[in-house]
Amino acid sequence: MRRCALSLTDRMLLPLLPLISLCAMVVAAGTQAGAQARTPGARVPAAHAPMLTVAAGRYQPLYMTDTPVGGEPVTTFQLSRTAVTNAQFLRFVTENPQWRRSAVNDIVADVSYLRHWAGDLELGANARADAPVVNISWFAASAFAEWAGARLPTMAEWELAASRFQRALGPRAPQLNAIVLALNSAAPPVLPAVGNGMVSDDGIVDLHGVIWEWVDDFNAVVASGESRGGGGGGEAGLFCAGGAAFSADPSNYAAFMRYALRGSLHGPYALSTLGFRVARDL
Amino acid sequence: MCHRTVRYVSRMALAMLIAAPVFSLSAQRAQTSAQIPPPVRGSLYALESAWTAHDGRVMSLSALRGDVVVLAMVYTSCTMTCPVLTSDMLAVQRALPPAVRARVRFVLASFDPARDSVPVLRDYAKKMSLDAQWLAMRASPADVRKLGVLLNVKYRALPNGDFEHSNIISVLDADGVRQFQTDRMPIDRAKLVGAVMRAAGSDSDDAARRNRRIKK
Repeated sequence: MRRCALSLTDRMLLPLLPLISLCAMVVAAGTQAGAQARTPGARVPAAHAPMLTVAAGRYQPLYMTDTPVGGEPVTTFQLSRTAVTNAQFLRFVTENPQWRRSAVNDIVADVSYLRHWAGDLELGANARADAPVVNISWFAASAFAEWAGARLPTMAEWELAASRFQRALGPRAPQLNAIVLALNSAAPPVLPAVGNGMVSDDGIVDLHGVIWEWVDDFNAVVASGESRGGGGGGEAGLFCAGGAAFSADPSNYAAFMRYALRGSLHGPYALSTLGFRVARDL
Repeated sequence: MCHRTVRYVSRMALAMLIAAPVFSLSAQRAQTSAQIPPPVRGSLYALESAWTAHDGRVMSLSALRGDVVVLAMVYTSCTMTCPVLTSDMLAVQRALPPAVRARVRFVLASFDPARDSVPVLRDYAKKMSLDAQWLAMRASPADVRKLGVLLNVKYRALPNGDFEHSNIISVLDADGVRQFQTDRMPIDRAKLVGAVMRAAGSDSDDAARRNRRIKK
């Protein structure tokens, strides 16, 4: 049998072994205590809700006359079942101090950023832990998604996911537009927990009614007179009657409102009715 | 007990001992970074993004710090407004007095990274006779989107390969703070020259004199 030979370093370390082990244990205990102090509550929340697969389909945009017949194809992707919550976002800002309210850079978040929270790392009475996080800039939502190994859904992906309620509504499915409008007007001042709203055919919850949601390419809405105007109806004007001539479905007023909202947003804006959920390629 | 086990245990313990302070140090650094005074208010250079210039140089936006920057987002296969934006910027460059011109960089950031590769950007720079003060650059779609959102430049790919997009030229001062933005075509070149002069901290009378000369 081969003898186990000890190197010089090992020989020197051997007498110190008890001391080294003790130090390591003390350090480990300290690290653990630190981690617990940073995240109050026994359980560290998951970064975001489970990802569900949204089947491929076609998205018919408003105001885009150059879209292929039948709509823009969207490939299968994954979307979080519910929006990102205050608790989940708290974990993100805890681990990323540059995204705390008092530290955030003014070019990526305006003064309303997380204003409904009681403090940098404190939710308070106006922000239920399980409610969707709002007052979030596009940059903050994107940074969260990146941190969580995900991304924001594109406008086409979000709209496709938000158009499928055959199962939930049955014969009332053609009335989706009216139902969404009614839900939007009933939004409460303190947001309720996620997961109690309408369930889409893909199993995605709360797409309508609780909050609006950021999409990655919200700035793809070329709404003012700056467009090159070659193919799109961007110049037709969003609010004048002439614009309706370009609309794929003038009766879809709920989609029109989302379109108008996106066109009015800037990246640092933080609104009390605007949150987000995350997506991923399949 | 075989010595190999002893050796393993002692080495593990040593590794933990060495690693622990490193972890706590990095945690500390993360904590203190919140207390470091924030960069200049409104500076675009706070944005973390990685760009590759037409000469192959990999750089962050903040590499432009110290110079006045005239920046537009374009795509090189554009046949309509983008060449106009480039010629507007070239005209501004020519109109600046040499002393100011040396401190002004002209930047074209592509929102079509799929087609605007480094060689394509290099060819474009050559075709448009862009000198050493110019940078044509590309980045990942995510970093392009971030810059577009920061500058309020909207763009959307059309099925035929063209883009529908804003036509905006921005002027950044030496700290990367946006001082001026054009809003519509055709671009008022004299106004743009004035804005560059102001951002460069040049004599406003001088700027006014030049404005008059360009208008003629």
